[in-house]
Amino acid sequence: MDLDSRDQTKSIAIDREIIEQLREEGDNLLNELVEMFIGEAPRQMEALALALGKGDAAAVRLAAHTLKGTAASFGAQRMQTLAKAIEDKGRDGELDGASATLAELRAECERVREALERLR
Amino acid sequence: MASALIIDDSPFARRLIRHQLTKLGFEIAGEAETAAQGLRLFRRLKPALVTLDVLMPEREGISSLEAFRAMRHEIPEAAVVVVSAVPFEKTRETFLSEGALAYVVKPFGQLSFEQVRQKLQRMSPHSTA
Repeated sequence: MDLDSRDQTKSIAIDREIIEQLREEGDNLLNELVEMFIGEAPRQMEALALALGKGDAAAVRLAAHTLKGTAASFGAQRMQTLAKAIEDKGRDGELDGASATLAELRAECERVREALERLR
Repeated sequence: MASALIIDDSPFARRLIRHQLTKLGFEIAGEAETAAQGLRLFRRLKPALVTLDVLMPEREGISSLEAFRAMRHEIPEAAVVVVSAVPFEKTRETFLSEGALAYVVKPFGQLSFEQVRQKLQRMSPHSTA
């Protein structure tokens, strides 16, 4: 997939407005969600890589869908877009090119993690 | 305190919904990751309110819409709040015309659940939940 990486990676990984809303909710909600991301996202990413390695389109769709939901919680737009692209490939049973998108998604997920780490 | 059931495949969404429903005065009786699991819990827990994610990977052959229709048929007095990552008007109309209390679009915050609070208050003016 061509998302014009050079321009996109300059964008902000997470949505500041959503982060502020989560912070304003209080009850340690933002911190809890950040901790969840740091624990869950690598596991979700590995599940996706494993499914892709097996060529299991249904499992690819499921794992990518989960990552898309994870990204949405923080308004991580590019991560969400990349995950959706892989989810669509899984749904269509057409996994060609998914590995390249996975590499982009992995890098973006790391960028999101770094942005969230800075909030702690 | 009224009980609520959360059905959403994303643990992040479940945490956010739990936060919002707790603020509205609900006790979270259960959480489910799939429509099928949610329907089983619904039958067992008989919650006053359910939040149901529209777009979940289908498991055990039951979609969110099928689970929704079963819930509406079996316990019509249970309020069902549909949550969705995409604001598809047709989907929204389908759920609302078949009796969903509200259709909330992700990502959601306090304002998204305000419509839920207002509708619940209209149903039962003397208590929020």
